[in-house]
Amino acid sequence: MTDLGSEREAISLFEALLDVPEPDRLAWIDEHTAGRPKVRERLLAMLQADTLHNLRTGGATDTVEPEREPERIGAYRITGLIGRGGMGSVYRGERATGDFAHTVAIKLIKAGLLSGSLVERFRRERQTLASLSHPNIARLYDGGETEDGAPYIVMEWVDGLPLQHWVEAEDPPLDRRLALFGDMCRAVGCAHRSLVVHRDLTPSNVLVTRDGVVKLIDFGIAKLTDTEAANEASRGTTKASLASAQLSLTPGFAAPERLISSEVTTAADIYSLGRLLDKLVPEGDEEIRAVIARATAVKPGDRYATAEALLGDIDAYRKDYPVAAMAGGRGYVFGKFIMRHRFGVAVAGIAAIAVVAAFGLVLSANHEAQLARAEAETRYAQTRELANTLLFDVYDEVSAVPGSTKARVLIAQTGVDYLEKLAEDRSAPVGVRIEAGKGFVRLSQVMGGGQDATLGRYKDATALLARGEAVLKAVHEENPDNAEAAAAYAGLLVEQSGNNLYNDSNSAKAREQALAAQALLKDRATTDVKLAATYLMAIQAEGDSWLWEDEFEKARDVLLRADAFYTGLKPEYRNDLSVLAGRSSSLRLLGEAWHKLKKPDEAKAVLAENIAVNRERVRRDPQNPKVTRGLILALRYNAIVHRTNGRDAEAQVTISEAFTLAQALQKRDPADTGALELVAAVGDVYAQVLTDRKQYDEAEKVSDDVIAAQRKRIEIADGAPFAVRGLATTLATRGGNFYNAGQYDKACEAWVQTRETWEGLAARGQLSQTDRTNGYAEVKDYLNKACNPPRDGLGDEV
Amino acid sequence: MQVERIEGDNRAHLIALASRLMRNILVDHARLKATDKRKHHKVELTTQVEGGQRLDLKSLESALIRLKAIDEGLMELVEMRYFGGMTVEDIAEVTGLSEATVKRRWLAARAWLTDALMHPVDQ
Repeated sequence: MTDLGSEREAISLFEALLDVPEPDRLAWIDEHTAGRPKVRERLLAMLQADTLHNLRTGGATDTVEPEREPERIGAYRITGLIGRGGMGSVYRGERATGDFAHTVAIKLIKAGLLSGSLVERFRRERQTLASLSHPNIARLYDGGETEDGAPYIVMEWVDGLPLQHWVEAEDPPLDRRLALFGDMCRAVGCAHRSLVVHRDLTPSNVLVTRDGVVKLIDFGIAKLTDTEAANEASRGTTKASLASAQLSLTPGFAAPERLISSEVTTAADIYSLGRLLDKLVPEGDEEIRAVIARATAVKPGDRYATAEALLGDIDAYRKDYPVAAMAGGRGYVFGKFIMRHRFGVAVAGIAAIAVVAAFGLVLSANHEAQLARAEAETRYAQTRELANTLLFDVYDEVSAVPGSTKARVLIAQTGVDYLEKLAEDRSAPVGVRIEAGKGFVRLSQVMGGGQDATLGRYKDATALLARGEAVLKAVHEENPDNAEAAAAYAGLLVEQSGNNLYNDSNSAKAREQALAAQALLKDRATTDVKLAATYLMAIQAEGDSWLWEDEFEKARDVLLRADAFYTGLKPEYRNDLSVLAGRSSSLRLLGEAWHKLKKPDEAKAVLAENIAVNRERVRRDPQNPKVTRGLILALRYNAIVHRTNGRDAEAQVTISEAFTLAQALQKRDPADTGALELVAAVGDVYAQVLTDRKQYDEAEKVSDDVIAAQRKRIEIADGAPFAVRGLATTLATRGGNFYNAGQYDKACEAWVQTRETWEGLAARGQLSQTDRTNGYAEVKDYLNKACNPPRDGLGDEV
Repeated sequence: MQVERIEGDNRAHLIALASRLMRNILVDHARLKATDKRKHHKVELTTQVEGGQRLDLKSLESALIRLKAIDEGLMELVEMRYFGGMTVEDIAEVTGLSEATVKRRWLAARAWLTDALMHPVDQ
């Protein structure tokens, strides 16, 4: 509908148009869009839209919590909205009960944003603030909480302009600006003497009335004496409180130390005053530059000790005396008014904390003061922590909630954004890069790695693994002796191997990766339990790659090697859940290999042990779907072996348990493709066993369930060949069951559908050689022999 | 200078990262809200409120996805300014563009988005 070229043209013309004087614009547009009506149309649409625009800087935060304008707050009737900010809104109000109109500004803080203890402190501090009386500070009259529990404060309403607007509108001479700044210093000094720190002095918190009087608004809401600060410190300041301390910081005006500490000192206000002075005066004057430089020194100790000292220099400059700042050095000692003020703010709700933490990142990265290398590492740490929390803790927690697929996709995608940033940074420490690489592996598992309860986004999973490989391979090659790097890379290879095998049917590539992973771990596998688990998985993957090619003897040999490795481990390793996971997979595959080699006794023994291992895993980790999955697969193979060996009753008991478990798993989260695969894999066998037992209606019902699961799987996987292949196999099995039940019409119907499914794959060029010689050839054979009259028949059973 | 400065690249990364995170969190939050029918009420674009009005973040999100295809830099600018709350000066510093350019680009982005929000493309 829109073509990118026209959009880009229109945007670029729009930018150029901004430099064209208003009256010439139409002619300009005609000239520049001649012969391109689409571009012209788009440009005009943008111009039209521009008159209605509605996106403000930082405006997104306002949208979080839609709030209605209240009719009244306390004793005040609300007459309008003055502004909105991250923490709440400011309204204009009038005293409702009174003889004369008394206009006030009411700051309403969002309910729930402040913790109970903070509301209590807020209440106490209002007393101090209310007593703060200075002609250049907007008075605080009153405060309270609304019925909803939202705290509010009632302040003097100032009819004036923000500082920057006043400067633009009046363009006052330098001395007038400095006089005004002097008043600001006096106001701040007065507040500091009352032990009140503003904390957020910015141009928008400085108003100039119509009479030219400067008024500082929003004076510090949080103030603590030293004693209280010590108490607070002994209780420990949490990360959340540190992050939320930054909520009120404004980029460019907050002192640098505030980014790394929750302590608020009068020195922070001095810094902000310096930044305000910088905005207030024209560039150039060397002496004023020196004053600004001293006020905004990175180290608080290098700044003016008090607002009065800063004022002293301003007054000196105005009277042409030398300013102290020009003298340099550190002649300024901390005055007795330097108080340490600590405040901790606890924010309710994880979302709020996350928002605030994100803000903290913006603000800190944004700050123009010098930031030390250590600071960068702190940010790395925070980013990693957030990424890890999202990907591991939050994800796992959310996964346990039924029906959480959508939430998991969101979390995973947020995680991708983090990791991309981390991984792209080649200068990052090795540990950070390893972590980013492992994050990609984890994400790929989450998105659809094939083993766990996954989101079935196979393409995404493959792409994510490739990204992880780009990081981990490089890190390993640059640091060949780093065990952590080798282990992480091996873990990735095992995942890739599984992905290649199960999702792409590329067994040669899968084997190559499994062997590479084993080589990486060879000398380390028995030294660490996690490495042992990865090593076992790598052998298992090698074995599976042979099974995939029907090379049963080779598979058996490899899997016996896995068995020997496991039994050679020390007992505490053997009982570790992650090692047991690899043990379970390799036993199941070994059982399959024995079974295919027509060694029923060996198969039966191995599969019985596999069930025992998996029952133990479920016992120790009952809530984990991955573990339940292992048990289901163990039961399934055992049932297959029972059935092949004519133990039909045992087969039914075993497969019925597996089917019930698989369906329960799938019901917990209908979009979980891992569970869908299980339902299909188990259901196919179950339907066969039921047919053997001549329970035909039951068999058909199970088969219906399996087909529904297969179709759902195709839908989620965007028609990927492996999913289509699954449906074809199920349909062929269904036909076989009907045939064995003597229901020939239904059998032929199912086989026709089977053939059409294979042919659909062929039409898209996705029918593999294996498919052609096995499934596709087989079903054509069935149709020829059993469904083309005169029917030859297939013999007794299929 | 006694402290090493963080390289420009790293800072730009962090800025973009945090702004994007902000976008994700806010949009997720909006989605979450939208599922809670009881509390959800959509604010029409033409409802003017003094001090700015709220946008439907979900519509904005789909518009941003389109904008990314057209001009990724412009989309990032919106992230930084609208979601990150950064000033023109800040953005100029991290993107290496002049303040005048950032300002022009922001105005263009704003006009484009406003139009896109008025004429949403059906998904």
